[in-house]
Amino acid sequence: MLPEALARLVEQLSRLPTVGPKTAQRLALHVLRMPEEEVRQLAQALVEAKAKVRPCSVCFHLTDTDPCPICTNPGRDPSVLCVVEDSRDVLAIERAREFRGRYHVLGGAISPLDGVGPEDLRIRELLERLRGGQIREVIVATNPRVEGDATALYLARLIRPLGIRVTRLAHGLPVGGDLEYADEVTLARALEGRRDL
Amino acid sequence: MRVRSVFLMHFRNHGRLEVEFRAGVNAVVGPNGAGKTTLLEAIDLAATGRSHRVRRDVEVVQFGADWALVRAGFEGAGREHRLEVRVERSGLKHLRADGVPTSRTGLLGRVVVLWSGPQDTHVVGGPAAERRRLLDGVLCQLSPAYYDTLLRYHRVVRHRNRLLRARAPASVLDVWDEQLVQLGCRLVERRAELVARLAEHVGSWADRLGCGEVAVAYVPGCAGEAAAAREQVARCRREEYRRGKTLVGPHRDELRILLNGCEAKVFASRGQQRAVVLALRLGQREVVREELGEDPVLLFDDVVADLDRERTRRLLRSLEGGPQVLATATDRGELPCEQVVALAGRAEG
Repeated sequence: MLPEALARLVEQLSRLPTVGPKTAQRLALHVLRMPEEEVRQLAQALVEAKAKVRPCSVCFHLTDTDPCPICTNPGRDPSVLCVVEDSRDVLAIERAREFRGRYHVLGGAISPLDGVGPEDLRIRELLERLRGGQIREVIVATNPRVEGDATALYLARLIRPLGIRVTRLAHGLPVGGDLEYADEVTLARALEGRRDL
Repeated sequence: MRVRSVFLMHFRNHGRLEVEFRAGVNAVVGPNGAGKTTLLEAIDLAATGRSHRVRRDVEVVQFGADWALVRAGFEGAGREHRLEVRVERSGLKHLRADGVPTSRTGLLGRVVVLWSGPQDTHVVGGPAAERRRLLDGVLCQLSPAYYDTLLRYHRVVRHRNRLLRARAPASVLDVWDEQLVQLGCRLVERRAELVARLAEHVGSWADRLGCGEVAVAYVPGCAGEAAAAREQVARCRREEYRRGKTLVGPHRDELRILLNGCEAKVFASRGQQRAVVLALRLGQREVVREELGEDPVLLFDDVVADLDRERTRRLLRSLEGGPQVLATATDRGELPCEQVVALAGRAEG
């Protein structure tokens, strides 16, 4: 039997995604072995992150200043907007360091089976931003699943009539490998999305 | 293509079993309950990542065990494939190919197996879904991209059905229509192509097996061309709202099977149905050979059960000296086999 305080910690940890009961126990025991100061810092970090981090009121990316550093950065191109499902996708695109425009985080994708409709996403807010008149291109970077594709199409039908260019990220081959090693599905989809040279 | 060896642990009634197979016809014999079908099922699972016999993978885990394991060594396209499936009691399934963890999409396309068993009479006499499965079974193994398209298509249909039942506005439904059409047309194209090639071979196999004149015809659930399919979807919209489900698309495909010019579904006897399905499976083998330049492995579970003497004789003669077949039977009988794998009355524990 675990002491009650420890059992509670295991319980809490196992509620986290991807953490099963065994991992939760290992993490809990690790916490007990940590110096008290570090444990305090961890606890404080959890509470502080929850208290300070909010969705940006403009793009809905997570931030501790409002608007977020990307929205307020004068070096970023205000005429190009990249629409993503999730804050994680912003981080992924930022890692590429290629995109110099701004973002809009939808908060998911249209998925009737999960009860998510267009009204549950930040689409109204997106249209509001587009009406500002500054934006010339919207890059739809939703995930290449049926839900992401449906969302992309839905957005395209709303945005095109506004006279704004709408583009979709290409489905492509991973770079750095030979064609020979690409899996068949990726290859098939890359073929579907082939372009004229 | 052939199976060289199979190793099972805690797989249904086989606590531990190791079997080697040869080229040509391999007879798997033993009394009822010895685990003959199970051995074939395990090979099917290793090759395709799914068993034909179960709805839930957990059912293959031996009573009292925490997991089941099948490891199969195949030879195909001039190289060896070590395929492994481990099913946990919790329902988790781990696939490995040549030691590397993979998904079902990553597994498909390496080897091709064609299963035929007692349930096969449903292919002729049962609902259309059974006949679509006959087509998808071989298409998915030939092309992981087809499998990916099929999965996405079915997901679109389910999303769409939910919207139709909820009477969602047309603007929301429209974006799913486009994917329904795009993915659906691709499936229709591949299925039509398969049936056209199958049609060439089924007739001659039916002839060889002596089961009369057999013909197949594909009746697609939507046009194979996007513009026409889009129009069909638009036309059915009102009826779809009324019935709360998607009425256009390849999930409504039918494969008509004609025996001597009549619907086999209605007129064929049990034995005739069995013979017709065998002609279809053997026709599929020809198509796979044309596509890959190699024969798939046939897994024949008690296929002679409903056949009369003459048809059994013809079937066995046609398999003799040909590509690899693993066939179960209660006794060796007249199987013209290269090897007999005898399973004991009670599988070793």
